Amino acid sequence: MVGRASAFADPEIIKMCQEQFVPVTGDDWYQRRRKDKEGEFFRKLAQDSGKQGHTLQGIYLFAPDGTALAYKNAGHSADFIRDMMKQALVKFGRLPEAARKPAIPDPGEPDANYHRAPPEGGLILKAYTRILDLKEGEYCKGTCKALGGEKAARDHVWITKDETKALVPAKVEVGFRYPVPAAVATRLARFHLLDNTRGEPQLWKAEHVRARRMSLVVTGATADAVELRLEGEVILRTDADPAKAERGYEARLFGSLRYRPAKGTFDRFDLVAVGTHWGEHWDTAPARPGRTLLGHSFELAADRAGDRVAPQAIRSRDEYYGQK
Amino acid sequence: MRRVLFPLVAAALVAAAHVGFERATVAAPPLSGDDAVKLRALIRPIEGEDPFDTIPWETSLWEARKKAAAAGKPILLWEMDGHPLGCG
Repeated sequence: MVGRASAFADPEIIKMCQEQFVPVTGDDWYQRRRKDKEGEFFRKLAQDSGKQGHTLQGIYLFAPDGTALAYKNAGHSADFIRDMMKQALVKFGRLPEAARKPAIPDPGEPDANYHRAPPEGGLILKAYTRILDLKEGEYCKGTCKALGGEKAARDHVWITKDETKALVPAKVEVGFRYPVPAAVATRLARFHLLDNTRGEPQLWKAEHVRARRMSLVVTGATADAVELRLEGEVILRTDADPAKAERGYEARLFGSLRYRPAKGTFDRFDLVAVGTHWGEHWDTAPARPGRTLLGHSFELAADRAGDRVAPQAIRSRDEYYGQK
Repeated sequence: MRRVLFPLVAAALVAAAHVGFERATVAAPPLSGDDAVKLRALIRPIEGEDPFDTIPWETSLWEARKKAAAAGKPILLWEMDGHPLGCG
C-alpha cells in the first residue's frame, strides 16, 4: 500500500490530517457500486473531482456538503499531496458557511449487496503478515526491495456467533482435543494465510488447500476460564505437484486461546503461523525469489473504527462464510 | 471406560475433520509456545512503525461528513480498491 509508505508517512501531512481535516478511508470496490445515498454521494464527488475510469481510487478533498476541492492519485509523492492539501484549505476557507457547516441528512438504509457489517456476537481478529528471514538459526524480520514490503500487512478475520460457540470445547477436561470448526479452519487457510505484504493478493481456491489440520486442546480449566492451545499445519499450493505449483505456502500454526464461560466469549485469541511461501500474483509482484519465510499473527481486535473494517476476502460474502 | 473412550472419540473426530486432504505434513517442526511469543513480537507492527496509524481515520463516509460539518473542517477521503486499513 504505497500511500502508507509515502504521503501518509509524512509528518506534516499527518499533522494536517489530525488537526485541519476529518480523515476517512474507504474501499472503492464497494463505494463505487453502492446503490444508496452514500454511493450516490461518492460517485457525484468523483465526477465533480474529474475522476474517471474503471475504479474511483485516490485522495479526495471536499467540503462536508460535497463541494469538491481537489483530487489526486494516492501514488503521488508526499510533496505533491501536501501542496494539494494546503491549496484545498485555502479554497475551503472561501466557501460559504452552508458548504462548510451543512446539515447532513440521514443516509437511509445501506445497500445490503455492498455493505458489510461485523458479525453480531462473533469475533473480530486483527491479522498481521510479515516477511521473515533466519539469522543464525533464529527468526528475524525479512528484507525485500518492494516499497513498504517489509512492513506488517494487515487484514481482519470475522468469525460468526455460531462459529464462536463451536470453538468452545464440548468437554472442559484438560487434554481434551477436538478439531477447529471446518468453516473457521477453511477461512483462515483460504482467505487469511496469504502473502498480502505487497498489496491485495489472489485468494486460495478450495482445491489449493492440499492439507489443513487444525485442532484445539484444553490446557487448563477453572470456573473462571478455559485455556486452549491451537495446533495446526496447512499446505496450500496452486498445483498438487509441489514442483509445478506457481504459488504455495506450507506453514505451522500455534495459538493460545482463553474462553470465559461467564461471559460466553473469548478474551484471548493469539495465533501465529509461520512457513515457507513462494510465488506472486501479477498485482503483488515482485515477490522475493524462491521459497522464503512468511509469518502471520492474529489477535482479538480492539474497538477502534479501523478495527471494524471488513476482511479483504469478504467481497464474496457467501464464499467467505463457507455458504457457497 | 469413559476415560478410555474419550480420547479415542476425540482422536476420531480430529481425524475425520482432515479427510480428503493430503497426508503430507509440513517439513518444519511444530511450534512451541515460546516460538509463538517470539514470532508474534516480530510480526506485529511495533510502536511507531506505521505513522499513518496515528491519523484518527474514520471509516464511514457519512459519519465523517457529520463530524466535518460540526467542526467546520474539510474532509480528506483516501479511497482504494481494497481498504487502506485492511488490504495488505
